[in-house]
Amino acid sequence: MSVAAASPAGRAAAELARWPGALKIGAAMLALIVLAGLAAPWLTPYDPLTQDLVNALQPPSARHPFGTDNFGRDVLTRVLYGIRIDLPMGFFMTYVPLIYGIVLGALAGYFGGWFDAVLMRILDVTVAFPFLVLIIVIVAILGPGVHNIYIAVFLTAWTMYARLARAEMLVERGKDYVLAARTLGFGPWRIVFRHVLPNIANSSIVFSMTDFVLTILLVSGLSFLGLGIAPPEPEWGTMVAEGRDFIFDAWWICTLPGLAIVVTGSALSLVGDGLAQRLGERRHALL
Amino acid sequence: MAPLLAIEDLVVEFRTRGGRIVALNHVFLTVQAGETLGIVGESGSGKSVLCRTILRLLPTPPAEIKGGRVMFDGEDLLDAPEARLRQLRGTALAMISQNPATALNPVWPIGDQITEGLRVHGRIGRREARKRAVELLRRVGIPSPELRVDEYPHQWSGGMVQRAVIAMALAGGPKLILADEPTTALDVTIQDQILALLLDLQAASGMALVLVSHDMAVVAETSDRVAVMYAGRIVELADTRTIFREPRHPYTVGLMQSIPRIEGGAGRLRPIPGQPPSLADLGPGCPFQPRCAVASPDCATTPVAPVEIAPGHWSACLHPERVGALL
Amino acid sequence: MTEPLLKVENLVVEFPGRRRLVDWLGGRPRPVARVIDGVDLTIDRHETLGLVGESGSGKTTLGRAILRLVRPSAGRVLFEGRDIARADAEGLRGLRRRLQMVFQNPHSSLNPRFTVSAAIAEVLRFHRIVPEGDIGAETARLLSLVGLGSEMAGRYPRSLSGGQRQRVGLARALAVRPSMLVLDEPVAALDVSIQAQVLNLLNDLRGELGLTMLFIAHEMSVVRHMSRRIAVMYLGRIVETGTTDEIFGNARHPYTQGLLGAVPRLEPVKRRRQAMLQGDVPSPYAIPAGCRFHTRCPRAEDICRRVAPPRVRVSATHEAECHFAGSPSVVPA
Repeated sequence: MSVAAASPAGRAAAELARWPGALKIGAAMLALIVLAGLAAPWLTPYDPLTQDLVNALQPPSARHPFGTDNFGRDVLTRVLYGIRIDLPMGFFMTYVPLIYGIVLGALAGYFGGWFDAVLMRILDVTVAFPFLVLIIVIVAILGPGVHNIYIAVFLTAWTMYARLARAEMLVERGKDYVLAARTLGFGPWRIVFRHVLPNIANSSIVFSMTDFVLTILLVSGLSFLGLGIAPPEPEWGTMVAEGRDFIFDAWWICTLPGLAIVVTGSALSLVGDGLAQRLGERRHALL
Repeated sequence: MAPLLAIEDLVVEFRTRGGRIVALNHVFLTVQAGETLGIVGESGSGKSVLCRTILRLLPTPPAEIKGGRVMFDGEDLLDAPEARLRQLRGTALAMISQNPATALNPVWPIGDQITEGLRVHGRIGRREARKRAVELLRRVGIPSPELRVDEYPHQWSGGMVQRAVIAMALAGGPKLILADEPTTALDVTIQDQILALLLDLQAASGMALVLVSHDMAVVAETSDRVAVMYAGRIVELADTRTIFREPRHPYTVGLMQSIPRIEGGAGRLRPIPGQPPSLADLGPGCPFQPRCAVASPDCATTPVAPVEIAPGHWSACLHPERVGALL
Repeated sequence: MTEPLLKVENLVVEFPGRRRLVDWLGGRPRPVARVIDGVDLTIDRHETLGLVGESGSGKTTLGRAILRLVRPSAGRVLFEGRDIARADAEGLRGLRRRLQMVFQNPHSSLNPRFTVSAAIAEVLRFHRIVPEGDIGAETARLLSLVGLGSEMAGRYPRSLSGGQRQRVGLARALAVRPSMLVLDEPVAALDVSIQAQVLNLLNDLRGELGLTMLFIAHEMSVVRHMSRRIAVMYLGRIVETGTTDEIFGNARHPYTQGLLGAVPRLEPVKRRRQAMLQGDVPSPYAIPAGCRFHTRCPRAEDICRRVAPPRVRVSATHEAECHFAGSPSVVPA
């Protein structure tokens, strides 16, 4: 028992020591990716947008480790700057809906009644459509562009979290600590937000890692289809789409941005698996 | 006569994050054919670990059998190959577990589950198996078993499911049944029924029964001999009358005095002070010493082992003569 | 005679069941479980009433209905003369400062994310029991009241034993300085040696704080130890009430007699008897007609299957709902 680990640093170290391997590796990869994105201007001498047609379609070399594209832009530079687009978009598109999804689901689960009934019908409707199709339809109606992707995702992505939180709330609601809180006269808002939400957020957070990966793929996919971020922005999906025409002559233009998507996705998946294991362990310790 | 089950010097350790803990510490026991042995102890005393070790159902790791023998009907179960163990578990050796709600598979008809062992080991046909299932359910007191044999566990009450679990244990014609808290999850009236059933079945078939319980009274009414466990050790072992009339271990006395009696006698209870020890940090001496009313300073430092203080009466106490004063 | 502190009158609690498609198509109504079916109960100030019954008897639901954790379908729960069943939010909040509950499962009755002191301080702050500056001292006082040292204050529930958690739950309930406690099987989940410690503590606190208690348990021996008066519940009704001596010495309801006989004795005498009561508690969705106990009753006659038994008064303090309660028992208790 490390109950007595006094200093916050000591406690953090103790927690870190308990992390499963997957979580350690995933978190390290993710940290490197974020750092690389932040440090992009210092890591590369090139600009992601400036064209240099003389050096177009250069294969990977010491000067251009990922080669150059058909406009002579350094692919590695564009991949690094792409972190600055894909990661924040994935982040906001995952975690903003997560917050109100959990809150709505938790409230519906706790109070039941008409609010729950309405929410459940909305959830049923959104689940009836494949997620990607729904997004594409909304973006097609609103028109392409970053803002509209945000709107489309914000309209739909919360439903998963609402469903999860509602199901967990139905279980927690009957537990003795919630009854004890009611007996002590605490109001429903206090019980939901202070007492239960922290206990039901775990599964949503674990799920959000997978969702994060899917959101990055979604942004890339929409951009690839021409519904998302327009060239010349160095977005990974856009880059894959642009490189498509040159796949036989210059494989690196679309393959290496694709690899960036895969690596980022793997990092997030590892974090998700590791978190599930660690939080599950902790939940187990509570029993 | 050689005992049916003889456990000698059994040591089981668990590996945990905090290091090694000794879950069973030089445990010894015998069970004669046809006898009922009661094992009492609180959570963490090692009584469930003991049952699982006998059946070789302990997950290893984290558990590790460090030494000792478990002789069952002339063979050492600790040396037996897995195939032999599987055969024994379905036939001569059976277990009834605590929680009837999880003991049966919810998506299988009860009758099929009862005779699955027979079909695997005895190679009997489906029709024969069904007949046996009905017969077994009748033996454990299920009304109109021929109508209920195809039902599923959720259609039965907890008491009925526990009867089905007993039927399952009986199916192979066991010589020994290990019942690990078979009535703890049940109501008193159902416990009453299940205990009566177990004793009836035992009288009819001559099988031996090891009845594990945290309840001294359950053991008092059912057992021929009683073993009291504490912190992974047998601290007292004797025939039932002796355990209750002339206990020679302070923990045994504490257990009896800390429960309110149905026969009345209100007044203050005499609880055992303190908490059951954590197996992770036990001193060299007697594990009960911090909570003991008759402990002397050397109890904390002198290792104790059970001593036969009278024929068939074992106590792991340095001062068994002081225990009488507690009564 | 003074007004009782708690008075339950003809309380009914129903839970709607699941309506299957075939029922709906057949025009059958949604099934309803009558978990509490017309309960009358009084508890005087400073009294402890023991409530016993098997699982499925409705004893836990009755406790929760008294605290309005479940909403009654009919009847009244008068606490200090005010009806809890019909109190508004404000009234309920006031009542809950006077009436508290201790739960059975020490593993789920504390929020795993609150330290011991945070869990207690929250209650003190929310109800403004003491000024902000005194919260630390009051928390320490409450902990020592339930026999816990102040070193427990910073701990999380997961590092406490079952008995310690139960004490923390008790401290939290006592933080609002209630006049009555509803205790729902407070020792059932604890180890034998720890049960006695908690029972003694409850006895001490009752004297010290002048508490009134409803003590719910399935164990007759524990109830006998804790209460001067006992109510026996079966399938949603109180079938017998009396002083502890009356219940244990002169039980008139065959169910009470069966319950008493089913408890194993702490005597090294090998049993040679049949079980006292056969069968299981019927489902509250289909309560037997006539006397609800007739399906398991060793004395049942034709009248029991047709007519619900009257409440027979055996003495000023002793009542039983049985057609034969007037005549002494056939089954020795």
